[in-house]
Amino acid sequence: MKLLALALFVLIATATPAMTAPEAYPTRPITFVVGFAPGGGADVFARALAEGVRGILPQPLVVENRPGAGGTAANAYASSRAADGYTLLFAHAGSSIITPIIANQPLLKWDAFDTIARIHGEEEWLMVHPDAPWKTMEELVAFAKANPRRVRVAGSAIGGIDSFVVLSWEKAAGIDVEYVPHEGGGPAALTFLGKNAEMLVGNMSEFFQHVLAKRMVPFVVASERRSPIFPQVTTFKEKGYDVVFAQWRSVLAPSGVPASRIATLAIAFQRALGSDAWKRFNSNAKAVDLYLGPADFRRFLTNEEARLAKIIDELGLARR
Amino acid sequence: MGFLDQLVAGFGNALSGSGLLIMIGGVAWGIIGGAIPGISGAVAMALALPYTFSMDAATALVMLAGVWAGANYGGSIPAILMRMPGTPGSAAALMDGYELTRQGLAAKALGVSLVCGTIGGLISIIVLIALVVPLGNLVLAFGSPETFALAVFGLTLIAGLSGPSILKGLAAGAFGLLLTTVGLDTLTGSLRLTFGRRELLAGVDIISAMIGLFAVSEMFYQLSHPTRRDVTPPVDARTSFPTLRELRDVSRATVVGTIVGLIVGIMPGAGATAASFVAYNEGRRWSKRPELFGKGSLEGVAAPETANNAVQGGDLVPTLALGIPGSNSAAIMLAALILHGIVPGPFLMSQQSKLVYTLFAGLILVNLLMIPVGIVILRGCLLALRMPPPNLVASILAVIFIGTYAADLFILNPVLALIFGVIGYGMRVTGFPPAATVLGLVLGFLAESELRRSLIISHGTWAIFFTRPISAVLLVFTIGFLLYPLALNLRRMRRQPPSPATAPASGGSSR
Repeated sequence: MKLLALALFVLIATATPAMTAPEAYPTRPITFVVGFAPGGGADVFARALAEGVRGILPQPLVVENRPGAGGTAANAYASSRAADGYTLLFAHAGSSIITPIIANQPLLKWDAFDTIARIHGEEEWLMVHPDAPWKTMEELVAFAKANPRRVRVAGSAIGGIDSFVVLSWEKAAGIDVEYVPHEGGGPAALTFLGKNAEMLVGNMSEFFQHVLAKRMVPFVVASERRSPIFPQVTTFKEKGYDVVFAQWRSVLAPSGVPASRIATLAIAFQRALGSDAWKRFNSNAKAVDLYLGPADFRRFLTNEEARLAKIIDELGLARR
Repeated sequence: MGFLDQLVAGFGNALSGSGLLIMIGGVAWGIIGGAIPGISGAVAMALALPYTFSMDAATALVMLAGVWAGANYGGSIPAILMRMPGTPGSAAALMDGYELTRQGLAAKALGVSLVCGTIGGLISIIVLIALVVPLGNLVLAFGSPETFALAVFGLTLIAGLSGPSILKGLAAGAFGLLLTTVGLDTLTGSLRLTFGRRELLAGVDIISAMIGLFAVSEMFYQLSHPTRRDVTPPVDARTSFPTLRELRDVSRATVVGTIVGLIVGIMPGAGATAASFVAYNEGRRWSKRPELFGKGSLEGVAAPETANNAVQGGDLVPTLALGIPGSNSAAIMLAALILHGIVPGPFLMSQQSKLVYTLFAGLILVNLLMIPVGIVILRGCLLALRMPPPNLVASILAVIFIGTYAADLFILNPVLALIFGVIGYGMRVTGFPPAATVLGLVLGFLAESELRRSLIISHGTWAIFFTRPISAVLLVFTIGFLLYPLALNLRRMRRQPPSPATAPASGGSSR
């Protein structure tokens, strides 16, 4: 009996310190799951973020590519992992809102996850050829109205932000253009440069060099205010069209991560934005920091989903 | 500095410090990664990418180029020895390569693959170095209609793969084409043939299906016919290099492979896999002994293997000249650049000429290094073949499942390999050629999406395929090559009195 009491005492004595001491986090590398192939925009962002957070977090962020299903294969994988802060998930509008809605997969949508932070974003631009006959939006819209489906706009896949920019613009301006979808921004740029399309929609990170080489001319930008990159280019809003979209990129985690760990991660990411490596990457990518902490990001996503869901409905893309 | 001075300086740069060791390491990893089925060149490069962060940009690019080149060869090792494509680009070589292994000539096939592949790679790099800027403009002339025409041109190979029954070949090919429509459609955002299953959103993984149709079905076949010692370990486990005479015999196929690889490489959208099949088709068409194709022709190995290596130079054309990657592998090179803080684009060549010339030198060096490194790794693989067949089959199946899972970490892929193994076995037993299905899988996505995109660009007129010169030429050739044997046959029948029908020369068994 005494032995039993002694054993119990030792057991409790050794267990208690573990229960009351603060758990160190992170004590091993954190996996950052990316739903896109290596080398693409999402992947490069994830690796740059991992680089930026090095030295700020005591453990490295390791990128794991799980491409497929428009990015949602990664969502499925991440949601199956423990919510211990050692698995993070890359998210952008396509993979966390649009594709889950289109494919009728509510468990893969952003609200089935914990929001960590929105990191940065790129503006959506419309480009024309240097010898384009239209110099102003009014001229272009007039031409498009007189010649329905004549103007071809190259962009990435239907269901991506690129396509939403064009489709919203069509609706707002009452015009009908021919959208030419591609598997990504690169192929779209090739179609445009090969003179198989009159316009191109996408991010400046892929197009800036071509603008410098005078093969593309920025025509209009889909942001709230004019962009510092090309301040002479008007916004859709100025012209009376409520077309505001950005290709934002962010970090989610499986639902149920302890609040202290979420805070640690969010603060680390915010600090990473000040690192030299990140600043250089961001400026080369022509992106802007769009940091939002966990709660603000969640609010943002609620509004963003409402906005995008409406467009998905209008396009008839959602599966029932 | 003159062009040659810069190139020489590039060599110096690439070889400085531990450059040579890094290149050898890259090539070695590329060959091994390529030899593991499911891990393609791009995946092998992605796995090596984190190791490049501590290197400077030039070394990083050269290392990745080594992995890329190595993988192009590495994929042919299991393809030839075990009918298992290590990378999708080596699938075309396995048709004749495996036949050669069954005849005890594995070493010759592997030697041809290595030597001709190196030649193809080197030539394409030289063309790249000499003509990158003008070719960069040429890339823009290859739009959707041209890519569609190329895909159709390649699909005519179905006739050559069909064996005795063209109808079965067409059915098998059509099945492959149908499979490529599964998943989320880029052009409409709608879901096709997913049956509500989330796993099918991305479609059918081509690599897994290919491995299933070729390798897993072959394993089932060996298990069900245990008396057939299909994989005879070569008595001499050295690569007995093809003799000079044999190399001369395949020189025509090598030239064809190089040209096809260069052209298809430059075309954005079409990569090593398409190039290897088109090269196989063309190699057969221009060969002096086309009837040997499919039965163990060295040319049938030389043409596709040269092509899939020659694609490397072509892929780098839009990558370096325009900053737009010509393939997944090139995309990883670009990612490495971006992560080192260098911005790719039309100014890369002028603003980073030291880097670019180091890369050029590095490309030449890694392609040359493929031969010594390749031989060493090859010996190891040949030793492994000495296992008793049941152990060998089990090991191969294990490697297949690990490889197909490791690439995308997607559990459906190994399952797909298994399912297609069963399908492939069923097809072989009933006389349908699995190779035709693989061809449909490889070219189907390209053909369908480029066709639809071309019609959007043309506002709905089909004439676009014939009003654009390159596409028109390709399609006219396709139709011509399809009708030519028929015309020959008609003439032959008219000259001779009617005799038991002779099928048009199509050659090639359909295993």
